[in-house]
Amino acid sequence: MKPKSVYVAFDTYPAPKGAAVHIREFAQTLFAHTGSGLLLVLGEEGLPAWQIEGTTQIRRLVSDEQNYLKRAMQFGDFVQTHAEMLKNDVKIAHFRDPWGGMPLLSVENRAYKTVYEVNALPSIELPARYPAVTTRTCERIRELERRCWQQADHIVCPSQIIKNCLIELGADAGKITVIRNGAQPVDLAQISRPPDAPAQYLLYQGAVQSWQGIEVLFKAMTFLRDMPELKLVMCASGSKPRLKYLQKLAIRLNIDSQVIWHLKVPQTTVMQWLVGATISLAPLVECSRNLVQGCCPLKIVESMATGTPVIASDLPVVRELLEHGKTGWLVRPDRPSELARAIRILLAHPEQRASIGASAREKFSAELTWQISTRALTTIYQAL
Amino acid sequence: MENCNMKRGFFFLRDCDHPAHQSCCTCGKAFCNDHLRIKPGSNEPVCLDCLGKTMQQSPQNKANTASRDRYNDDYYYDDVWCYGYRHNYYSSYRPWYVGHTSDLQGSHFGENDIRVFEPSAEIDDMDAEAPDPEANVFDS
Repeated sequence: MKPKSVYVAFDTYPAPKGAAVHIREFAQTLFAHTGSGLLLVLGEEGLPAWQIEGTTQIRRLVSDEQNYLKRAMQFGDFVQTHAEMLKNDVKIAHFRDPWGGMPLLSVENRAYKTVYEVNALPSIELPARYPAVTTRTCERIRELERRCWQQADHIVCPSQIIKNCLIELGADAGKITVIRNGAQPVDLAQISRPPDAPAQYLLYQGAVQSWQGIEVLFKAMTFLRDMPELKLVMCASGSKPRLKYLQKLAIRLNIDSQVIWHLKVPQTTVMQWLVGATISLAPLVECSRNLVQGCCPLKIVESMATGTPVIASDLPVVRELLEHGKTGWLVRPDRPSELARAIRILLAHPEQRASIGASAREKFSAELTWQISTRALTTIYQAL
Repeated sequence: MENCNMKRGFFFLRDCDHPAHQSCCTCGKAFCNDHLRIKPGSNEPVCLDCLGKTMQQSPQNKANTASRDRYNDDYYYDDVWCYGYRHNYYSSYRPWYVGHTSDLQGSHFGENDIRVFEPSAEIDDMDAEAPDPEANVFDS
């Protein structure tokens, strides 16, 4: 059976990170709407190149290309091949980046409508990862992004900041819908603390890119050395060099005895650590990725779902989710001493932690479940 | 009896718990019938993983094989469009990123763009840039 929709992501799937959860929720919503679907993603060792799961198929690009841009172009060829072949059968093509979007939009006489899901702009994020990227290269990537938001039939993004950014860059405000990231409701009675969990611990969960603020968090931990029993659990995923660097940094900062690493653990395990945590942390850095481009951190939404109080950087993208003192605790970004002070305050006031956690969970149930987000997405598909 | 060696599941991948029926002619592992197809031109069983990888092999790598015509006959798997993938890949390959004149034969990006995306240029690999823990660079 030929698929009636295609969801395209230049991302490894599945993977222990927020993007994979987002892909799962949105792709399943798309495939349920059209009755069948094809997911085109990146492969990795141990992931089959081709999976058939009922009416859903997953095709993964198998590539040992190490250069990011070359791999992106390989992925584009991979997507274009499928798009050309299925152009008369697919009703909706949903993509997350220009690497998948450009080939989908380049197909002539296509029968499908397109949705561009903008969670991030490579032209903004890539220079943080590859510092040698020139302005000219960024402009070329921006040109692809521009074509995607100009030609896509609809655009969805997870925060008002991203929407504002796109409008500022020239996108048509009328075809942009904000659909926030969500999480699944959590039955706390069904999730137990990990058996090896310390009595009291802070939790960082998620990816470890430079904009996540892990360095700030580690620096904050140096101000808490007088509480050796307090542990920081890192449920982290990321590139090997980056993780290795962070582990070395913890040693250099002399906090390695306080840090417990759990690398690339499954989401179910992360939820166990989250439920048992005293405080969850989102120390996002004040940088163009977080300030100009925007984001909707899943780690915050998932913490709200479990009622675990969050200390996060006071940035506009965070204020879209958390209100200081009510549903979260906000601190100025990039200030380790202030982050450490906030941790001390909440550790000293369990009643305040409980109140913040309960209010956050209430807000989550009313506004931030995946069910609410995917219903909004279905409405967009129906209107295409 | 050995179980199928394929993974299944949309998000939580798990081992397929079906009993294996035959071995894949490419990787030699055993799989159930759900995860086997017939290899084009040989009538041998091949697993979905190997088949998916084969379909992605570049036309350049396959240029010296006589199999291209063979794949153009009426052979198909249980999904006709799967065959189409291979046919299409071989017959209509062209870069989608055309748009700017560059030194990459019409590519949107040139060598200078591509060079900076080598793994060695990635900031994550940054022992050399590790911040000095005594410098307190993060606090203003």
